Order: sequence, then structure tokens, then C-alpha cells
Amino acid sequence: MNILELFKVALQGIRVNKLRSSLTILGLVIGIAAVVTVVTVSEAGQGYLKQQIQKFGSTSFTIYPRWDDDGREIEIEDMTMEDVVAMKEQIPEIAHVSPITQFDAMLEGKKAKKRATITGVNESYFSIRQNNKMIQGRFINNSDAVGGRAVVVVSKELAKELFGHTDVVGLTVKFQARTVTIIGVYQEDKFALEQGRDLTAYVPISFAQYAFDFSRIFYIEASAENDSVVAVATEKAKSLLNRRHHTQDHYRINSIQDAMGEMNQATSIIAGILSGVAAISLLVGGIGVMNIMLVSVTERTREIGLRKALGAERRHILVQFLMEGVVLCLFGGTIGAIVGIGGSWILARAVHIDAPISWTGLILAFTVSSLIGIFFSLYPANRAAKLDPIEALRYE
Amino acid sequence: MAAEGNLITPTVRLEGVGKTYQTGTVAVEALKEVSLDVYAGDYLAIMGPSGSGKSTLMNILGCLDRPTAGRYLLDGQDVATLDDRQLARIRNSKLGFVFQNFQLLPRVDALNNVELPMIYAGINAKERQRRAESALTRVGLVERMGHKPNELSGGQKQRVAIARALVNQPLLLLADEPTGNLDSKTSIEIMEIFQALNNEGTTIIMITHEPDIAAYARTVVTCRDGRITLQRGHSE
Repeated sequence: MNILELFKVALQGIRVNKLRSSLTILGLVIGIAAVVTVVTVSEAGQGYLKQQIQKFGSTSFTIYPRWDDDGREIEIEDMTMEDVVAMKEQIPEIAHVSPITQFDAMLEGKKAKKRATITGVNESYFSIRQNNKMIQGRFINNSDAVGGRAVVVVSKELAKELFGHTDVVGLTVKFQARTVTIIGVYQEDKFALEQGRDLTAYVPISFAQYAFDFSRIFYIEASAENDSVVAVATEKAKSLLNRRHHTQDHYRINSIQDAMGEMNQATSIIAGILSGVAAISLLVGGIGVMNIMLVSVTERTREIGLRKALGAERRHILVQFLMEGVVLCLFGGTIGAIVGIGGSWILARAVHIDAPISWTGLILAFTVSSLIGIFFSLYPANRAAKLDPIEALRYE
Repeated sequence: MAAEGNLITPTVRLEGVGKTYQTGTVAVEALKEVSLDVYAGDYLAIMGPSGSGKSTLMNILGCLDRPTAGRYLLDGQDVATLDDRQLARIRNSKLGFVFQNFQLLPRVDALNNVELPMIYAGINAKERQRRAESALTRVGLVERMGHKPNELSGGQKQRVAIARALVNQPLLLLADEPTGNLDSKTSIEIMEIFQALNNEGTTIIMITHEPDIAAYARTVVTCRDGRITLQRGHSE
């Protein structure tokens, strides 16, 4: 008896009771759909996070002085421009370094006055934060930074607020009673979930320090040469700063890699919990299959007796009922996979991310449903195979 | 009957076959010391009231049950030496069954019902169909081969069952009350088919409690209290 014959016999068995078979596989459909959705969405989510993080520069990291529990710095020991130079010169694993200061200030354009977040940086900043793209003019260059020139790079949104359009390169804005020339307009590619308009601008840090009469560097942003040296670069940066400031373990580093790891861990935990729920529904579905297979064996006792009388061996009967269970579960698996793909597509659309079809999810769905089919049909099938043909033929 | 020293191997040889059922503490002796030879081409009817042991005898002859005493040689082979799997193969290749209540699969058509034993014999689909059609032709039902059992009359159902019993060219056709669920006219039709098959060389053993049905057989034995006695026919 070949596999095709068995498949045909199994289909016959399932077709007899269409409604019953459909209800039986409903549990499995739900379970498999849940598994496929969980796997697809968590894969899509991780893919999305990774892609977003890569935009920020997967090698980038930020160095801060440590804060105490109240959020204050433990010790006022400012990082200096010399620290930035030293990091760049002494740590070969570091590709770019920029000091950062940040203030809110009023900017006055031709059309309106707007409060914006002003960030003082050097020329390397956009090499570190690769999610920013120039759409007009240029970014701050080395001579702007060294000379402390009164220039500003504004966000597209800010340009629109101040002037009503984005064609603003060469125009000036009033800022802290000074006139500052706009040299470029940029656009930030943000997380899709981030909301709010982006009223930000970048000035050379030297200019910011001068304009605000404030020499502190809030934090330093840097990027490593490549993904594999991020850990080395951060360690070297920490010890360099501690050495220069005669401190111990005074600096804290946030790297995108760590953040990525944490986010992956978080999504794995969520996926794990959801998978647990899905597993329970699969178990319930499997019990349903077993129940219905037992009913089916009982109902078809005479058929089993007849088949045995006509020469079916135990294994033929066993495989017939196993196959029936497996086919039933594969139906459930297929429908569940379709529902799962549809469900994850809808979920993904709701949060505006791409959810490509997850092969892992599909393979999992079919493997799991086949295994459930085999596992939960084994007992009923074995019971059928062991029936005594004489008794079975006489069964009413 | 009970021919000693015959040179031709009998299709069926029962040597002092007994069957005792253990029900709780009570042992019921359903068959006692039954000896019987059936040769190729024979047509034997076993008569007897219910509870006489004839069904037990049929089950043993059909290799569905094993004797607890004596020997059963089918085509010269002692079935006591065979395991379940070998018995299944014997039933498939050497025996054909016809039951009182037809025992057709309700969900599939006549052709598929006839094909069933060949599936277990591992015969390919094309050959199965050819042989099933030819068996249905033999019982005069080939034009109804696409019909499901519930679309067939009792007599037609039994003819499908006979075709099914014949497809693997068995040594022996075992019929258990084949006309028990049929009216007398249809019973005669079925008996005519049996007669034709026997004339063509098919060996038949049939259980019946109706004397006019038993009358079609060449040899008739009666079963009573687990023993058989020759009623009519040849005794070597």
C-alpha cells in the first residue's frame, strides 16, 4: 500500500463528516494561526528595529558622565573638547567623534518666531547619526566648527515654521540677539512610531558655547570603525576618559548594539509568552483531534473488521488512521498558516511596518501540525489496529 | 471426508479441531473434534441452528480465529504456525469472504469496494481497476460499478461482495449466510452465481440454515453442539 493510497483513504474518512472535521481542526487553525502570527510579527519587528537602528548607525555610541539616583551628575567634571580630540587621535577603533551640547532657544525667521532645540555639534555628527540627510545646502564643516562661525543647519519642519518654505539656504535667523546664516536644511528619518514635529537645528558647538556663554559638553557621540570593534572602542573610550579626568568608572556608555540586544531580548520575551499561549491552544486542538479520532475508530469498527478480514495487516490500519489524523491536522495547519499570514499582515499594517512571510513560521506550522497529528492519532490508531476482526465485524 | 492417505493435498483439512472459549470461570467448548477435508472444486454447505458452532467453524476456516485443539491445514499449511501478519496475507491471497450483511464500505462505489482486497495485495491502480471490472462482469454488475452501496439493491450488494471475494483469485470462497438478508428470488440469483462459479472450479464453503439454499451445494454437513455430521454428498 503506497502513500498515495493511504492519503486517498484518509481523505475519504475526513470527507464523511465534513462539519465534524471542520470543527475539530478549528482549534488547530487557531493555534497554528497564532504561532505563525507570533513568529511573523516578531521577525518583522526585529527586522524593523534592526533596520531603524542601522539608520542611526549600528556602530554608534554615546558617552555620558554617570548620574546618581536623583539624576544629578555625581561629580561635576566636564568632558572637554580636548577629550574629544584625544579620543579621535588615540583610539584607532573610533571613526568619528562629536561633542554635544543642547539648549532650547527662540529662533526668529521671516515668517515666525519658534522655540527650537539647538544642538551644538562638530562636523562629524552626521557621519555618526546616519538617519539625518541633507536636503538643501551643506552640513557644518571643519572650519565652521573650528572658527565658531554663526551658521545653522535647520530641520525641514523648522524651516517651514520660520519661513513658510524650505528654500532657506543663505537666509538668516535671529538667535540670542545674533544673526545666524542658514547653510543647510536636513530631514530626519525617524522611527515610524515617533510622533510630533521636529523643530531642531544644529550649530557648531564652538558657536553654541560662545553664544550661550557655556563651555560644558553634555555628552559625546562617537562611532566605531565597524560593528566588530564597538565593544573595544567603548572600553578604550571609557578608560581614556577616566585616565584623563583621574576618575574611576565615572563614564557610562550607551551603544546602539547594547540597545539592539536589549530590544531583541524584549521582543524575544514577548514572543516567548505568546508562543506559550499558542502552544496551549495547539495542545487543546490536539486533544480535540484525539477525541474525534477515537469517535471515528469506534464508528468505523465494522469497516476495520472488514479491512482486516480482507487482508489488512495491523500496520495498514495503524497507518490509515494516523494518516487521517495527520491529514486533518495538515488541513488545520494550512488554514492556520493562511489566517496567520493574513493576521500578521493586518497587524503589521496597523503599526506601519513590513511583515514579510516568515518561512520559519510556515515550516514551524507544518511541522508542528504534522507532529500533533501523529502524536494525538497514535493512541486511536493503535486501538483500531488492535481490534479483533471477528468482534469488529459483528459490531453494530 | 476425513480422507487418510489421499495423495492430492486438500484445500482445507481439519484434524480434530476444537475451540474452547474461556468466559470467566466457565469454559465453553464451541467446537469438538471436527475433522473435515475439502478439495479443490468442492462446494460444501454447513447447516445448523444458531449456537451450533458453525460461526466458530467459519471463523477458523477464515483464519480469523485459531483452533485451541487439533490442526487446520489450509492448502497444506498449518495455520497454527502463522503469526497475525501471515494470517492477514493468507486471508488476502487465499480466501474470499461473503458476509450475510454484505459488509461493503458505504462511502465508496462498487468498483472501489471490489478493489479493496487488491489494495492490501499491493496491486497497482490500473491493474486493480481492470481486475475489479472483470470480477464485476462475472457477477453481471459491471454497468453499476459507479454506484455506491446505498444505490444498490440487496442482491446487487451481495454480487459486489462476491466480486470483491473473487478479485484476488482465492483458493476458497467462504460465505456466511450469503442469502440471509435477501428475498427468495434474489437468493436464487445469488445461488446461481455460486453454482456458476463452482462449475468454473471455485471451491466454496457456505454456512446456511436454509435447507433449500444448502441444496445447491455438492456436500452438506450439519453442525450441532460443536460437532459436524455428513448429511449428504460424497465421502471418500
